[in-house]
Parts: sequence; structure tokens; C-alpha cells
Amino acid sequence: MKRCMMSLLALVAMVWLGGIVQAQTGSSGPEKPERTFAYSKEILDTFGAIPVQDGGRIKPLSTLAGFKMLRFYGKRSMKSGGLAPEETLNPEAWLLDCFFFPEQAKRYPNFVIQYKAVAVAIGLDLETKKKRDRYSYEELAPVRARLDQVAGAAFRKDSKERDLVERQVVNLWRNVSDFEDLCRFTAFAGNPLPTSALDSVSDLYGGRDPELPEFLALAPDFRQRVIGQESGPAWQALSDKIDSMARRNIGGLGIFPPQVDAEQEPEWMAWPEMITLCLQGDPAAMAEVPLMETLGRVVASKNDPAGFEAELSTFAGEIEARAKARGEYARIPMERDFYRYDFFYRALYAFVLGFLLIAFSWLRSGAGGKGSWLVRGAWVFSSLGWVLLTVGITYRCILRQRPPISTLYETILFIASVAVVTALFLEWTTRRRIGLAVASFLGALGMFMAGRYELREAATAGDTMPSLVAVLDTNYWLAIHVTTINIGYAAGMLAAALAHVWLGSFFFGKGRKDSGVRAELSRMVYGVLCFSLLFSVVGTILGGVWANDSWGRFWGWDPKENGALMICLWELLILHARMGGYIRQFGLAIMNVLLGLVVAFSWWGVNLLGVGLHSYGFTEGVGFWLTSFYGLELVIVGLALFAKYMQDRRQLVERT
Amino acid sequence: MKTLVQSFMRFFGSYALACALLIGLFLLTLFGTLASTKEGLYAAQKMYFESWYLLQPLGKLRIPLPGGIALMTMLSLNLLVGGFVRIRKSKRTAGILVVHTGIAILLLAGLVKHLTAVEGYVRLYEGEQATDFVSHNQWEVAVRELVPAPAGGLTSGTEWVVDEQAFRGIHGDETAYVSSADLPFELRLRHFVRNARVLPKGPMWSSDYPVIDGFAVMPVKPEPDEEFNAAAIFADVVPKGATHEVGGEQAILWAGENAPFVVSRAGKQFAIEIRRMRTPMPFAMRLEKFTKEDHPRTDIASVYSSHVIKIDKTTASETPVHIAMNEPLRDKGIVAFQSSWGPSNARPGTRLFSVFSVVRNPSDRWPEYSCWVIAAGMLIAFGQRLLAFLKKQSQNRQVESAQ
Repeated sequence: MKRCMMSLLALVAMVWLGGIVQAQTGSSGPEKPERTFAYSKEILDTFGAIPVQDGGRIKPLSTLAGFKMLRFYGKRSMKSGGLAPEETLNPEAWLLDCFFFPEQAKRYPNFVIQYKAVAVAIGLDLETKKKRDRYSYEELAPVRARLDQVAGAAFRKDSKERDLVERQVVNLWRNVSDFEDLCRFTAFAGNPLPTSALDSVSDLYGGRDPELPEFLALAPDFRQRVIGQESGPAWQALSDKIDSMARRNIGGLGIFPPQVDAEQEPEWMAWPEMITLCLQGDPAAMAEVPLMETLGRVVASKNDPAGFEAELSTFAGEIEARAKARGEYARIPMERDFYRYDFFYRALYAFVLGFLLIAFSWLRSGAGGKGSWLVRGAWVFSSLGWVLLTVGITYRCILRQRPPISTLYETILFIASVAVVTALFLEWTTRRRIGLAVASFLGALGMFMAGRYELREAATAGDTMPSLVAVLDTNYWLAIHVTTINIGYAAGMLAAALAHVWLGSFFFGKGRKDSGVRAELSRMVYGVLCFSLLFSVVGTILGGVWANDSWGRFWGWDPKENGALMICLWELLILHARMGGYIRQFGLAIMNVLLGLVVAFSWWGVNLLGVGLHSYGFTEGVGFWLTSFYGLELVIVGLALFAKYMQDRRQLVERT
Repeated sequence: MKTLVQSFMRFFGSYALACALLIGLFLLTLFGTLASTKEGLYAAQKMYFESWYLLQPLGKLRIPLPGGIALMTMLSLNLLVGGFVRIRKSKRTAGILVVHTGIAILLLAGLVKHLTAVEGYVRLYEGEQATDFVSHNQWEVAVRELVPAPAGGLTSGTEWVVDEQAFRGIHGDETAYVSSADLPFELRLRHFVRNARVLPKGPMWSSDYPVIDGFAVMPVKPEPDEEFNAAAIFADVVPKGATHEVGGEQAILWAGENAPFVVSRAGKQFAIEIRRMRTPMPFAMRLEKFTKEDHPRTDIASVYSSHVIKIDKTTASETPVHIAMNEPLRDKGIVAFQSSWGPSNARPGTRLFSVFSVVRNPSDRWPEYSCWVIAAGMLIAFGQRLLAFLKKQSQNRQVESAQ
């Protein structure tokens, strides 16, 4: 038994050592589906910096990889699952595996399924899986046909009529289909086309079956020879294979920058049209065949780390040189940095730390003096969070060559930034630690929301920097109207947050002894409300002026316009009610909490209605969160009114 | 009398009325916004915002509410009395007065637009020319005399037009008459249906309207977007002073029909049709070139713009103009905007047409002026308060540090 054990151990050791030796020597034996080496930093950097054209813009492959991974897996970092040795894959490493080691990538837990019901709906009920779990392609492969079927049934319904499971099935189907496309990206290499079986062209490629680049190099001759000459099963088999390569390989991804000026030809070429155009003898497409051969050499060297790095570098260098010549590369390194530094995630940490410190300072009243280390720490982290957030926004402005806001995602970042800096200004003027607490809380909430919404954007748009519709293609109005109205939103939300603090002090009796605290809070709420009104009114009217220039009418009672108007009306109502003496501190707080609901309706709610000319802002999937927010706020208002009623009654009884 | 005036001033200038009106406008905007998802923007706009009153559905109940016109009229009065007359005039309220002035300009702009503005569109393929713009929502019945064209065939001569207002409200057997000294017949219009299909009358369906030449009108629920409706109306062409029973001719005019109804009278031919209302422009527009570009490798339009020639109707002088998104053409009280293109299902290579929204609105620029006035007023008003607040905070800190 002992000898048996020793033999087994020796065998395991030999296999392991063999693996290491093979990996180190970079054995270039027959192709293996498994990767035998860890990607070096150079490989990852080279690959990630390759520019591609996707979604109407030039971006680095690392961005594409990050959003694909986010969409499929829910994170930008993936554990390779049960594969040994287990690796933590970043998006570049994962996409490299999809491209060059697809069989290995198919075993990664690529797909997150949010609800067990989705897995059951497609006939996949693995007992080992949790309610929300991740699945590999291999696990889904047996139910692939069923997935097509269920998704097909869901697609036949109007998107608004699909239930949660159907929506999730559709998402899963899209993810799986996209993943299959990624895995087919280099399938042309080592996959010869069966031309030798056709009499008319058997000598064209020297009697061999050529690989795709070689085939395309002589495609015009091929086409001329086969037209009207070929039919039958061999011809059908070849046609099917060409068709599958032409149609199913990440159709939208432009990988070949044209070798002409960007003004002259803005579109990069993708696999499908390259194959079609080569068959038509298009010179521009034919000129890309050498680059395809280079990519073929990258695939051929994939089991040799040094060779792989060198060939990948050649391929990437060619694309980079062309992109530079076209003036399309300048912002690629910056975009790489933007995602590498992950400003908003770091800002989230800073804000959370700031909030924790200020919360401790509240708890430890002795140590929570205005100059204590806790307060100073909260100042440092909240300010750091704001700096990170603002630098991130600035990066995006430079990358997009746009003012700070052109998408709903960017409104979250901008509104958070404005709310935080305004709250910090309040803190600077009042030194009550209220502004600091609200700043760090709103900052953290904003960064959390941005993270969640980025996930949604990954699933729907595949990017948070999408191409803009023509009406938004005006930096002047984006800067003037959109920025102004969002400052109004931010201040409205800040006023609502401060009103919550006021109600908190009311609920828990804080500040009763020091009535100045609540009075000061009320002054803050009032001041921020005025600030919000200024920007909301001006922003709303400027929106009308823009609409007048774009659509020919100042005001069309469009839901988005109405939402902005409702904010103005509600804020005017608060100010007039206060001036008329109908509300005091309590009423001001309640009405400002409700202002938060009005702002949320204008900011998010009207986008769910799906009506009007602001269709570029329509969104799905936030209804649940919005409804929950409304419900929670109404409960708070209800409780506050009840508490106020009880307090007034008690005081009445005491007086009588 | 003095007391009455004082009561009037006190009521219309009160904060209570201001608050009530602001709540009313807020709720009206909310209900109108929610209704637009079911009724469509145009219908919701008419029902909620361009009405004196409305019946708001609440379950099976219908609650009467003041409409947008009523509320805004009251708000204007409130602004005038409370915001200008009764308000205390001092350095402190100077900003507020300026804000109120801006809001008054805005409300006035809205009123002028509501009373006088005409909106529509022009749709042109390259090489085509337009002298009128077409309404999105309003219908008209037109009678055109057909005269020989210089190049052969027939062309439109004199035209007689009946505005929708003349026939919108006719019910049952009521009739709207169209008559002119120059017309050799009288046109009687009956049974206006806002959205309809005109189909051969078969046994499978019945129509509430007369069957003419085997065709009948099938009413269809009006679409929320008015531009998708196809109106129908019955026309009787009768000798002047007669009824259709004596020598008259009947027809169903339908907006979905490609060709007009043609009648011959007194040796002349006349084409009769129902169509979107047309408004003449002070100049003609000819589309020279339409450009539409997509973002690379997407079907998202990045830019669409039109090179047009503006032709002065009196001097026939031609001026080239470039119209693009956010860059309209403004001339002689008319503003033309690049609004869209079509056909919507166009494939690459399909000939595209360009669509311009055209507006005649004397108060076109007033909202922009009001915006700057309001902004200035708010800066003054809130700036004063901010400075006072900062001053107080500074004093508080000095007191605290002294303690």
C-alpha cells in the first residue's frame, strides 16, 4: 500500500514537473487547448492596449474586455473556478483566453445567473449550485438549444411584457451568444477551408486546403473560377464554412484600421465584411490579408510564451501604427489609465472611511470636537473622495471630448460630485459636522449607485461612453443646459438629505437642548434649496431654449420637461409656503424630503415612462429601486407626521 | 367699493393663492405626464395643459380639476397683484421683483405662442421645393381647380380651403358648407371622423355612416400621436342652392387615399381632398443636398443636415442655407429646424428625405430673454441671503472663539 502511494506520488510529481518544464521551455509541440503559462505583464499590456472600433468609437481592447466580463460575470475580476492552478483573471487575461484558448475559457464560471428560476427555465437545475450562482459555458452547453428556445419565446413578446425570468433568460442568451463569438475570434487559424475537393480551384492553392488568410489572398481568382461552375456537397460544405466565418465573428468589432485618412474612411473593418469584400476583390480588404496572417501567427505561437509575446507585439504594433497615422490613438493610453486607476471605486472607499470617521466622532462626543483627529480624518477622506471623483470625471471629459454629462451614468457622477462639494462648503461655513457627514454619505451613495448602474450599462450598452445621438452632439448645450439642470438636481438631493438629518434629530430628540442646531440645519436646507431653485429654473428654461433650436418648440409638455418643471414648482411652493408662514422648520424638512422624491422622479422616473422626444434617456431596470425609494421616503414622511401630531397633542395636554 | 378692491387685491395677491396654484400646477403636471403614457403627448397636452378644466379619472370617478389655462391665468393674476403690486419694494426684494419680471415675460411668451403660433413640417427629397408647411395635427378640406400644365397634363390652379375648425364639431346629420362665388358648385361636409379606414362594405361589418359606391367608413380609435391618424369626411358636391338629392355627387374623402376625388362642373375639373392643414411660408425652400452620417459601425446617426436654397417669393433671389440639428434657419418670422429624416426603414443606398419642423411664433426668443432676467434676479436675491448667512456664520465663529 505504502509502495503504491509512493508510486502515485511519483507519478503526480512527474506530471507536475513535466508541466513546469514544458511551460518553461515553451514547447511548441501540437496545439493544446489548455494554456500552460501565466500571461506576463507585457503580454497583458500589449493586448489590452490594442485599439478596436466598437460602439462607434475607438477604444482599447482592455475596455472591451472589462465590459464584456462585467456583463457576463458581474465583476471585472474572475476566479478561474475549479481549474488548477486557480487563477484570478483580469479582463485582459480572460479575453486572451477567450481568443486563444477558448476551450479553457469555456470552463471558467463566465455567466452569473441571478435567480435559480432562470436556470430551471432553461432546464438546468444543478443541485450543487446556489440560488444566485455562476455557470461555465460547459455547464450551459447541454441546455444551449433549450436556451435558444426559451429566449426565442421571450423575444416574441414585447420587451415591456416580459417577466423577470424572461428578461434574465434574454440577457443570458445574449451573453452566451456573445461569448461564443469571442471564442470564435481566432477560429480561422488552424482551420483550413476544404477547397481541394472542388475541381475548378483544386490547383489554385497547390492542391492543399488553405487557411483563411491564404484563401483570401487569392479570393478574387477563386470567385472567378467557381462562379457557375460549382455545386454539390463539397461546394456546400465550403460555402457554409465561409458563411459561418463571415457572419458570426463579433460582427460589430472593427479590428482593421483602414490605411487611409480617418475622414476619408471612418469605419474600421471587421471580419465579416473583410471576407465578403475580399471575395469581391476589394483592394482595401485585400490589403488587410497580411495583418490577418500576422494574427494567424499569433495563434500558431500561443503555446510558446516568448513567441506569443513577440507575435502579439507585432500584430498590436501594426494596428497601433495605423491608428496613430489616422490620429485615432492619442486617447487610448489615457483610457487604459482611467480604468486602471479605478477612480470611482477608490472614491467609494474614501467616502465610506470619511463617513465612518464622522460617525465615530458623533458617537464619541468627547473625541468628536471640531478639531479632533476623527473630524480631521473625515475631512481628509471626504475631500480625497471628492478629488478622486472629480479627477475621474475630468478624465471622462477629456476622453469623450465632452462636457461632464452626456449620459444618465454620468449624471450620477456629476450630481454626486456637486452634492459633495456643496456639502463640504456648508461644513466649512457651519462647522457642525453635519455637512461633512452628509458629504461623505452622499458621496458613498453616489459611487455605489454609479457602480450598480455601470453593471446595467454593461448589460445594455456595453460601455459607459456610448456614441451620442445627433441631437446631443452639441457641446455648447451639453455644457450649458445639462450641467445647469444637474446642479439643480444635486442641490435638490442635498436639500433632501439635510432635511433627513433634521428629521433624524427630531425623531431622536437630538438638538432639543440646543435649538440652534436645528435652526442652523433649517437655514442650511433653505440655502441649498435656493441654490437648487436657481439652477433648476435656469436649467429648465435653457432646456426649453435648446429644444427650440433642435425641435422647433420651446416647450412640448414632454415628460422630461415636465419633470424639471415639477422640481421648479415644488421648490417655489416650499419658498412661498415658508414666506407665507404656512410652514416652519418641521414643514420645511418634510417638504424637502418630498423634494427628493420629485427630483428622483425627474431624474429617473420619467425615463421609465418611455414617452416623448427625450428617448435617448429611456432606461429599464431601475423601477424596483425607484419604487423602493419612494416607499421608504413616504414611510419616513408618514412617521414624521405622526410623531409631530403626537408631540403637538402632548404639548397641548401639558398646556391645558 | 374700496373694500371690494382691497379684498380682491388681498385674495389675488396672497401667498395662500400662490401656494394653492403652485400645488395645482404641480399636480396637473404630474397627472398630465402620467396620462401622456396612455393618451399620447398631444392628447395629454390638449386635455391637461391647454384646457380650462378637465375631468381627472380616479378609478371609476371623474374629478373636475382646473386645466392649465385656468391655472396659468390665475397664476398670472397672482403674480401681477402679489409679485408686483403688493410686494414690499425695497433693496431686499429687488431680486425677487426681477425674478417676477422674468416669469411674467415667460408666461407672456407662452400666451403669445398659444394664441398665434403655427407649427408644422416640410418633407423634401433632394431637388424638391416647398412653399407651404404642413400641420402635424390639423386637417383641412381643399378644392383645387385643375388646369392644363405648360408641360402637358394638369396642374393645380385656384384653391379653396376649409379649415378644420369649420367641420371639427359637426355631428350626426349636421353639415358644414363650403361655398364661393368662384366655385360652380357648393360643397357640403358631413360626418368628420378623426381616424378611420375606408373599406369595401361587406357583410362582416356594419358602418354607422352612409355607404358610397360600395365603400364605407370604419372608425378607428385615434392614435395618441396625432400624425398617425387618417381622417375621413363625407363630401356632397351639389349645385348651388340645391341638395344632393338633385344632381349631387357624393364621396368619402379620406386622408389615406393617394388620389383626390375629382368632379367636373361648368367645363372645369376640380380635385377635392382632405389633407393636413398647410400654411404658406414667406419664402420657398428647395433641398439641394441631405447628409446623414452614422457613428462608425453603428446605426446611430451622428449628424444629419440639409443644404437648402431659400427662395424669396417676391424677388426670386436664392440664398443657400445650411440647416442642421441645433442650427435652425430663422427668417421673416419663420424658423425651420432639421428634425428628422426618412424613410425610417431605409437601407444603405435608399434615397432619403429630409424633414424640417417649421414654426411661426412671434415669441420665439422671449423665453431665452426671460431666462437671463430670472437668473439675474435669483443671483441678486439669493446672493444677498448667502452673503448675510456667511456674515452671520463668521460672527458666530468669532463669538465662539472669544468664548
